[in-house]
Amino acid sequence: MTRDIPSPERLPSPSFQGPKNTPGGKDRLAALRRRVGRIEQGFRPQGTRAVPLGVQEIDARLPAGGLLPGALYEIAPAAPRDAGAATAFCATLAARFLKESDGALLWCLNPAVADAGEIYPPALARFGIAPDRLVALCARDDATVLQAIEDALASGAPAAIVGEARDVSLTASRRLQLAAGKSGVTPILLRPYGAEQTSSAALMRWRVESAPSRPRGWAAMLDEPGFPCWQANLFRSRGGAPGNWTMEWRDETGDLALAAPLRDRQAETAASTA
Amino acid sequence: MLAAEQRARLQITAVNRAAERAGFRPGMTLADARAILPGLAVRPADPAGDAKALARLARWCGRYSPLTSAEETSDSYPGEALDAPRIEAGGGAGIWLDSTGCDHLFGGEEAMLTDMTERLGELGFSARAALAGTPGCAWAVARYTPDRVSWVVVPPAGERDALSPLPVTALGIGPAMAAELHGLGLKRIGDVLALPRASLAARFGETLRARLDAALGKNAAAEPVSPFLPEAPLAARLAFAEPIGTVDDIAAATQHLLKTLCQRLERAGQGARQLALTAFRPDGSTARLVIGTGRANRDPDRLFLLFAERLAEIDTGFGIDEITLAAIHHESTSPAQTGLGSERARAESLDALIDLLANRLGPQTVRRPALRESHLPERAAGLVPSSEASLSSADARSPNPRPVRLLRPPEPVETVSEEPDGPPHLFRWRRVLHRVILCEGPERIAPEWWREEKTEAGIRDYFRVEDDGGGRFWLYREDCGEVPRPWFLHGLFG
Repeated sequence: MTRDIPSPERLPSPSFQGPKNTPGGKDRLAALRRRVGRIEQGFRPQGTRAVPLGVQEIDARLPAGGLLPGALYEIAPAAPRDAGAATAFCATLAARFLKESDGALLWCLNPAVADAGEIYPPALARFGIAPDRLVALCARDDATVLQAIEDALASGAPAAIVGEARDVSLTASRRLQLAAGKSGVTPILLRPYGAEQTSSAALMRWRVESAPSRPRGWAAMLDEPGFPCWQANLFRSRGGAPGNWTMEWRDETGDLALAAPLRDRQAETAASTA
Repeated sequence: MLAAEQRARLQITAVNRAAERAGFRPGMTLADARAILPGLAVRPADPAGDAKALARLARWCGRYSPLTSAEETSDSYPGEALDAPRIEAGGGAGIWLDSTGCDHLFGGEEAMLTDMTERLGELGFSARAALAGTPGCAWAVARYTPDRVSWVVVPPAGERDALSPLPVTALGIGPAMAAELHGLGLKRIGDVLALPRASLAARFGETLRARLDAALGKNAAAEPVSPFLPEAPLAARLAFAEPIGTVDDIAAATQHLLKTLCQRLERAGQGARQLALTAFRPDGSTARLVIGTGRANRDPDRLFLLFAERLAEIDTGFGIDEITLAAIHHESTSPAQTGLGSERARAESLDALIDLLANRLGPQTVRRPALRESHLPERAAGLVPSSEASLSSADARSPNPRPVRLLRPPEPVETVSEEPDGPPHLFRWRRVLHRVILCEGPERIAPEWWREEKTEAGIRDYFRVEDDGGGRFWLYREDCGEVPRPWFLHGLFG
């Protein structure tokens, strides 16, 4: 501050008009906005285009109109049996980032965390991750996974990184977010059920639960499971509003869509047998 | 016997002893040979392979002498000499050794030659060795002595006596001149030696006289053996006047060594796949650090990054006297192309990242998907270390949906289902009860009987089930002899 602090009798009167209406005020406000923007730059990458999730209703609710690359995401299952659903949702998100860029996907496995088996490449191919773009790292503990993610972010080589880690502190998540913003690579943390819900610097935090599928056509007649359906709860979105959607993965389009409301099966079977 | 195509005819290039006794010679056409003996065993001649094998054998002979060299098969084409009077075959491949000062290591010249011919015999070669004071004499004696003798040592100053009984072609003068000499009745070298030298030069030219002189040792400008030079090992060494102890010093030394080594690699057109850094301590012990890369690499900065992480592991003890850096595994690489665009840069930085992670955590930890043609889901796809991975042409997408997480090994579950083949209605996994609402199956996957490994697996009936909460699971029932057949959970769907 180069100006002197005004003496008490020269303080502005209570009917202070505010910076907008004073002559240099508009410039000062703009400068202040730029400063805040630069401070926030570490938390939100500038100048990157949003990657659409593919579901119009969800994209409209997201602050940037889609998923921003170069930011930290977090996905966790709602119950132990939803591990598969969380993995599949994570794969669809990662596939979106892979489509926009030509790098590889680094998946840091951590058996202690996943506790539900290894990822299976043909199934990941179904959700949009081609096997020749997948590199897997078999790590043993959280520290290794987080270090590997940081190295991968620093190198800038992959298009997206999925890391399975149980406990990620706020500091660690901030570091990941900063590194992601600098390099433009998108890290996605896949956390297990039961991990402590600490605060995190992630841009979006999702909780995924399996939802009953909506079988159609032959599958409905034969009582077979339909396409995968998930209840995705975006419970934390930096700069946007949270939301809760039931989405369905459609094999024929290779895309997500909002799921139709679930028909009451029990009522139907009761009506048909009556 | 071996046959090769020469002047649009298939001619025999080499015969074994039995064929030679039967009357077949190199230079006969294959058609003639087959007419004589219909049941001939013929293989195609492979001159390139022969040359390589000969070079290897010459290197093997480096155990006897440091200067060895391979000689190609003899100059004259047997085919051309067919019309000339029959000249004894002296063809075949040869190896030169300069045995100056080497024979005493083997207990004398005779012992060395005996050892050599015996070992070559064990390797499967029939060999004839000759040791003489001049290369010409040795060549002549080795190729033209009668078969029964496997080695000959020509005593010093005994060249004239050794050469005299040999035929004239043993001088290496070529078939034309040999035919001329034959025509004049000069069949042996002894006959030629008996003639006055001046008339020899006048009648036959300088070549014959030069060869004679060289063979007899009169010509001081002997034909030298141009030996194989051993390849300079790709290694660099740095010795210190005072032992160093800090990690920074070791790092600086490593960087210096890497620069030198990478220059050598570049000159040789090679890239390093595995580098070993050895630190020598004053008490004679060593510390060794090995790093590997996924692709041949000769960029000193990238290689230093891989070392930098592990340099702290070196226990300096009382200090380090000397550090050597050797490329223990290297491959040829093309010169690096720069400026091809961001795609190549991205692929290279992915390689660098994989190298970094693999060197830090172990080469087995970085894996890529490997797809195989197999019905068994645990075999059809998996993650293998990236050094072994090569994407086969097997298609990733299987016709039926596969679980996004596969349990290895599958976990047993208690199930309530219709016997004997019905779908499950209820199952308990990890103490949680699931009620099955929707079910698809069975998909029968049988073990692959055509594979040699015997597995305990039986026939499996897979069911894709969904429970009331929406969880989707892949259960199977295995037929392995137990009654009732057990159920397992193999994977979780998305």
